[in-house]
Amino acid sequence: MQRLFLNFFKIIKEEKIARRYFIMNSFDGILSVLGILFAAFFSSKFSSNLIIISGIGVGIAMFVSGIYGAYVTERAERKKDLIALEKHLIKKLDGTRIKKRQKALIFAIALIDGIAPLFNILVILFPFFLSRANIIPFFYAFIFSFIITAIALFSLGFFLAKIAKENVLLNGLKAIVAGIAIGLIIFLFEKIKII
Amino acid sequence: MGKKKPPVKVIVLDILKPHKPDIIELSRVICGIKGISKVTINVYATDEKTESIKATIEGSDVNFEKIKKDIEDYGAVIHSIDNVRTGK
Repeated sequence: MQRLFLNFFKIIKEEKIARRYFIMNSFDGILSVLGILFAAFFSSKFSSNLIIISGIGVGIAMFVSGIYGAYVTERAERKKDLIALEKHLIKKLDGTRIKKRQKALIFAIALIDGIAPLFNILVILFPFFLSRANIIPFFYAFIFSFIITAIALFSLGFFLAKIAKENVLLNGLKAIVAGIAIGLIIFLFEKIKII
Repeated sequence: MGKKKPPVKVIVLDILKPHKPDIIELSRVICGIKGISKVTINVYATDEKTESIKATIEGSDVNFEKIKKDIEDYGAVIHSIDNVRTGK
């Protein structure tokens, strides 16, 4: 089991695509749940329970779609590459380390693709669990969730800028602006009574 | 009782391999085989998917079959044995 985990992390470290999937789907998860949060905040018709159910519903849907989508896509792409390599080598690669590694890689990527949004959504929704358990007031849950979301968005922007060796602060703030844009759009929709 | 065959001390192999594992990793794999003490790899051709290499493998008892099995596990193919030195 420990070896399986070590292999899993080794693959993630070696394969940049896993990192890309993680960041991309984290953004998806964060911004999706942020949509629910803003909608709930502006409509003021929500309860902690409803926000948790909606958020987790989105998280589970993204988890399944992430795993399935990444698995099917990666499998097809990698299979194509393997067939091309087999043609070059004039040899079947069944049972070799290359094929086993590829299988492990596809599973690892699919898992990351599914876990990334769900994990982020659960973290962002955590204050609402506290609110449901009467540990913090409902309004505070919103405040804490927005703060966690801002930190998560900033961290992703920061991390991406670090990879690209760009201005980390600016990129962190840009990511937060994406979140604010969602809030503004939902606010406008609410104001003109479209939703 | 048959006479023990004299051990192979040096063998030069012409190998076609995928880009991964790279030659550093492949040399370590070969060098990890019992009886092998030194591995030198030269790349002489590269294309989009593969590399052609010459591997000079030295040791007290170089086991060709074991080398073949191990490197084939990494997707590499031995094209030919280009040089061999056997001695007691």
